[in-house]
Amino acid sequence: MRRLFRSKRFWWIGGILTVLIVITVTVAAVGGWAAPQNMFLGSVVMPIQRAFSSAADGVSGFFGMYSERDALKQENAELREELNALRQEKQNWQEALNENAFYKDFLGLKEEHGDYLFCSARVIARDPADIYAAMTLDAGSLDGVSAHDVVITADGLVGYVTAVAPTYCTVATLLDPAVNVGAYDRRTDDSGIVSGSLDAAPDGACVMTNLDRYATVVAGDVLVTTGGSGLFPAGLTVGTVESVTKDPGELTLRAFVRPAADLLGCRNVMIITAFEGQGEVAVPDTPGE
Amino acid sequence: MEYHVRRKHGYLYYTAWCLVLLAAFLVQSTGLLRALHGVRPLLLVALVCALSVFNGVTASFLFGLAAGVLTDLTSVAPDGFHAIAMALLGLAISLLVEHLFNQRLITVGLISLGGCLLYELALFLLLELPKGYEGVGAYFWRVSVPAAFYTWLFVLPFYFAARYLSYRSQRERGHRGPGGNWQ
Repeated sequence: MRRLFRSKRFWWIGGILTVLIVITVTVAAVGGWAAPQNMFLGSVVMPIQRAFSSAADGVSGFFGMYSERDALKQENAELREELNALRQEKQNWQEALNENAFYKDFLGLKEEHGDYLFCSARVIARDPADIYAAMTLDAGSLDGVSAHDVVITADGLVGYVTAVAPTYCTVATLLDPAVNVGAYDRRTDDSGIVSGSLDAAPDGACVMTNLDRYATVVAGDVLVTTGGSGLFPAGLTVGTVESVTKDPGELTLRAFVRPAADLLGCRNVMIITAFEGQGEVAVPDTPGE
Repeated sequence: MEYHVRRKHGYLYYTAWCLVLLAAFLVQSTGLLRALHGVRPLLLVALVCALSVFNGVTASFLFGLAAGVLTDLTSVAPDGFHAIAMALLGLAISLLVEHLFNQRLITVGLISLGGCLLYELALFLLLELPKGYEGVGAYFWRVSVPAAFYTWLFVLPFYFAARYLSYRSQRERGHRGPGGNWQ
């Protein structure tokens, strides 16, 4: 062990660790950007990750399904090739159909909110160490994405961008307790703060807190963003109330909310890169409303 | 055995592990592994634990570093967090096996379980606790501990693969040392 501490190897390891710690602390302090080593490696690895993700999504049922006799092998190979081509064609057609439906949904949103600037993106990875469904998207600063941009699906709010690299970005979702969204009940106008919670996250749900104790929110009510902070645009669907309970102190109410967007299973999302009123109120250190 | 042949086997050995590392990263980040009550295993932590048993200090450190940088790519943790944590994990396990313990399954199982628990503890203390939300203390028991055990389950297959490849590499290269015990 003493030999190790005296060796050049030990000083090399110490040097690398020191540089890493300095970079990590600097990146954490500045916030919103990926570290240089991640930007470099990400540019190389993320296209592979993207391809792998596509392959995992696709139809993979025709790998070596049958083993034929020798006499029929050639004919079978030809037929299989033709079948593969047709299946591929069908898959492309299905993908085009899905894409069409996806964009069709967004067209309504775009018509409703003409001020939104969109960037489409695909979920290419999820953070296994995060139970709050954090995800990586295949769009980055080269596509006009920046930190704190809002991520949505046609159904509703997903979360916001936490860090951006040139070709990818990471997103924290509504399930994360660090994400706080000002929202109000569309039916009763009661307002509160929607954020994640440890209890609700595994089921893909979140909670609305700070609801007035005289609020008349009931299960089934739809919540939308208030847009008061300038971080999230107003009027985005957040989710539906599942149940309402009293807080332990009984001063406020607490509602369990089912997010409108499928946070655990969504594949295609849109990033709102600009909207009217964006950033009109200063963004706090911990992003959220 | 000729020097260049040994060197060639060494390159092959480490290239093979780099490919396994990349494959494990893709599986881990694509969400192919089933979540148990929201908890997913960190395959790369299990891989680093298993590999560090059969490799030298420098190789374990560098392998942990590479695994950590890859994990950082898809993580909401500050960039560099997993790189530092996994590099230290690899370094620690390698040093423990080299100076104090042996490479037997039971020993490795205990060391790697400790490693997984410490890793999750670091995640909890440095990433989750500072968020300070209501009930954050329960996170450790409800998420960190199950995640550590779930991750640990994957050490076993990686351990046998690493042991097989390491011994095979030693035989091919004609001298002792995991993958040459490159240090």
